[in-house]
Amino acid sequence: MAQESAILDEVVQSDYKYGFTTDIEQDLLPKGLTADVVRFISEKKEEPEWMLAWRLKAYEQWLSMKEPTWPNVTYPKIDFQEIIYWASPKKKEGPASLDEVDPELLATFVKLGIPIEEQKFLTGVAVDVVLDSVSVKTTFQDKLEELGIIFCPMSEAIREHPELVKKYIGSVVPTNDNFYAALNSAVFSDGSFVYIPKGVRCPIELSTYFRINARNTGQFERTLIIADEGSYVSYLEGCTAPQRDENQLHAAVVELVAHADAEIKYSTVQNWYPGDKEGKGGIYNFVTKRGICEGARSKISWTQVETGSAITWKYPSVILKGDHSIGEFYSVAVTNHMQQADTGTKMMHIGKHTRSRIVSKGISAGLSQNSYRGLVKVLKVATGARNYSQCDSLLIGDQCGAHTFPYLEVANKTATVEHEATTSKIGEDILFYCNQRGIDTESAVALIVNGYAREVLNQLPMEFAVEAQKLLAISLEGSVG
Amino acid sequence: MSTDTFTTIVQTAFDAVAKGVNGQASGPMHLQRVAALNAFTKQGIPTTRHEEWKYTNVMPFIGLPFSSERHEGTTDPLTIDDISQSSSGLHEALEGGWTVAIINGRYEQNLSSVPQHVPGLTIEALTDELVATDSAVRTALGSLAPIDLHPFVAVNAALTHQGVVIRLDANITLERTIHIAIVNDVRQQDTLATPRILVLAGARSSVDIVESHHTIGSFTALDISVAECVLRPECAVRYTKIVDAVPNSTLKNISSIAASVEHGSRFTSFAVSLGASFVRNDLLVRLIEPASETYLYGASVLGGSEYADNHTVVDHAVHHCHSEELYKGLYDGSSIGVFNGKIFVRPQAQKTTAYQSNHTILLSDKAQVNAKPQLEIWADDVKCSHGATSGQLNEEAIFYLRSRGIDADKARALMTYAFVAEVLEHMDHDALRLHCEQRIATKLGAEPFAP
Repeated sequence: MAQESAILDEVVQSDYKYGFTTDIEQDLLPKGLTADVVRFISEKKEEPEWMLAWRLKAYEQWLSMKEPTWPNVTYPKIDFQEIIYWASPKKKEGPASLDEVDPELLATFVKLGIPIEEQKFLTGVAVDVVLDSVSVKTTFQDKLEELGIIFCPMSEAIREHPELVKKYIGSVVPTNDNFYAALNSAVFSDGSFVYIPKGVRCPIELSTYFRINARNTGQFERTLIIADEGSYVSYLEGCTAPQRDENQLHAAVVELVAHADAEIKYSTVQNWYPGDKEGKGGIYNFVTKRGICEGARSKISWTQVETGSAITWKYPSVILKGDHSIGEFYSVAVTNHMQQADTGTKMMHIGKHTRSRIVSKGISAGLSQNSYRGLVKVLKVATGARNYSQCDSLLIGDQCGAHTFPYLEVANKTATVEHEATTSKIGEDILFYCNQRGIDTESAVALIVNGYAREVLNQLPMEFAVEAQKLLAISLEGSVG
Repeated sequence: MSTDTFTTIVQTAFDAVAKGVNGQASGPMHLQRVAALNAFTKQGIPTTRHEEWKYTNVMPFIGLPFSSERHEGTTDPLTIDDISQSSSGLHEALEGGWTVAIINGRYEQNLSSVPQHVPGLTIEALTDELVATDSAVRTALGSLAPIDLHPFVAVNAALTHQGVVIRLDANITLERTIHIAIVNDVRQQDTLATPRILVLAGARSSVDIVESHHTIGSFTALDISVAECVLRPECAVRYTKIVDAVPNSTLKNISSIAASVEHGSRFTSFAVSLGASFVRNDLLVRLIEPASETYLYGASVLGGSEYADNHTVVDHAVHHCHSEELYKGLYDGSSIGVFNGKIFVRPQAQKTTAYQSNHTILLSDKAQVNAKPQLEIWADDVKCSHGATSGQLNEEAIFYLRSRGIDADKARALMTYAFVAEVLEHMDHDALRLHCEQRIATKLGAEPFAP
């Protein structure tokens, strides 16, 4: 028991490993948000008129909306006029090769253990690096172009492929969907745009590494992924952030559109700065992620490993519109110290014989609060819908909390909806059994937590699975191997 | 605005009650009424935007011209036979039990069959005088279902008049059942009634209580009831609430039952909803001393446009307590069922075990179910789980029955009956179980198995 508490103490004491700031010169706009700021951002990005109009409409809607208070999280009120809405690295000559990229930036990736060269040459992952608000480098463009795949920064897509952007942006997450989505729509800086043409299977895993890098800058990413009929894409999103004292707001919007027979696999490893042991600093991660299975037999799968952020508030959702479409959600959320997470998913069954599967694993330690909030809604027309949900919570330490708020709304008699949830701590009897077999307590805890999260980690692409395990280890250092 | 109408109705009813309190206007009970009226005004009528009322829409009927006045002499006074008839056979089934009749929210001794000289048992009217003189009643009243719990508890507390107090002394085991028949006389007008029940169960006592809600007449009855049960150490209270009104009853029942359970005691609750146009049950059980336990069961069998909403909260306030919950629902026609089960484990409630499950079968294309099983856990050394399902009958099982020569309709009825009957198996009260089984079977067109 004493040994166990020593390990738990160690868990609670461990510091954030990725705390450092990259020193790159930046352009900053004064704090605050007005229609002029929206115009400035749009102009700076050389956007067409319709885009500006769209942003301004979102801004108007945002003004009339109230900040949501229903999540099970507490934080000081955000002053939206204290945030800088535009920050971009100063434009030097556009980097044509890695040599021209700021060495500070490259060093950042080395510190992260994900050197860009290695990413590029060894793993074959195309990386669209977003440093704060402007995409700096996109790799593997040529190879993708051959197949007709568009993988570029959002700002470029607005200029180069306006017809696609115009058609799909805001079609899954409307500008007035919620407070943060409206804010994002008004001021989004950049993000990734992906279009997979009909029948194309994207040969590599597309990946973007986000970094929040300037002081007091809200990061408003906008990602749009469209998989046309019969195509397939796997997209990776990974995040680590430098340590700093002031809270930072991150309000991203991700939209996925899967047409008939298409499949989108979206994986996230999120490890932003969670704040220190007293809960000072840390990122506020208020994200709207939603996908629509537009066509028949399409599939969208969300996989997330959430270990960072002071507050995580996100519900990657799937609208199952096409008949026989499939939605999946796999999540591991780890909270430690003073972290708070309110995360889950929404599965809207509209099409016939649609299926969804939800597996959520929460791990709470320290003084943290971890909530699962999910909705499974089966509409009257969704004949033969099938859902299975499982959300488990593991508690480490006696001062943390684990909460589940599942909503099941069924309006069709042929639907089968199953939900189960459990909450428990690592049993002393299980630890004792391991000890008795010659496994020390530390390895035993590692074994149990790993096994507990395995079901979700198995869903991650190979490259990510390794990183995800590392992040789990860092978040619960001392107890996870 | 319909909400304004209702607020005015509550105010008028309050004024009428206030007029009748003679000399007790500054007594504790009336002060609580005043506080409750303020609490209601402050909270307002809940809309579906309110999280706890997300699926419960009271707006369609809240604007009706309800009255809580009784016009004596214009209709024949109710008799015990009337009560019996309105109870869909429950009254006969509990033959030998004691009946506590509450007519339009008021305890009517002359229609009740309350024993005068049973040692250790007192059943009396909850009056301003009693609250003023009896400290046990005063302390308990409103402590378990406080006026800020939800707006309708406040309405009940503001209009409480002539409720009933059931008191069981220590070491008393009652062999007979206490049947609280809550009858809404709506032969003349839309009626608002606010029955109030207080159960004080002494240490090591044991009792079966059945609360049933009925209507007589064709106007709409808004029946806002509150029952509080105080369980002292090592006692057992089995509290069954049945809403099984006559066909086409317009009963709208908003019920709150709250219990506090002390050391070694057990509170068992059944919520059986078989027929009423609208039922909302709020059940709140607080396990306030170690080794206490609670078992909550619910069965809803609805058809037509009926609505039943079960909200349960089990509050594990201390360590080493146990709770179990099983709710099942069968929804036919265009009925809507709601289950919202919350298990709350406080930081000091280590070694808690809490299990909850909720299963539903939809029988028609228009029926709906909304479920929200909820766990809020603040302690680590606990074992908690919940499971919720919504599905349909097992076609293979039906095929099996048909292959044995049972026709399709009957096979279905049998399967649905068996699905709900599982809940009733936990009922120790044989006569009550048999009655419920029969009622459910009748509603489903099945025949109950002989025990």
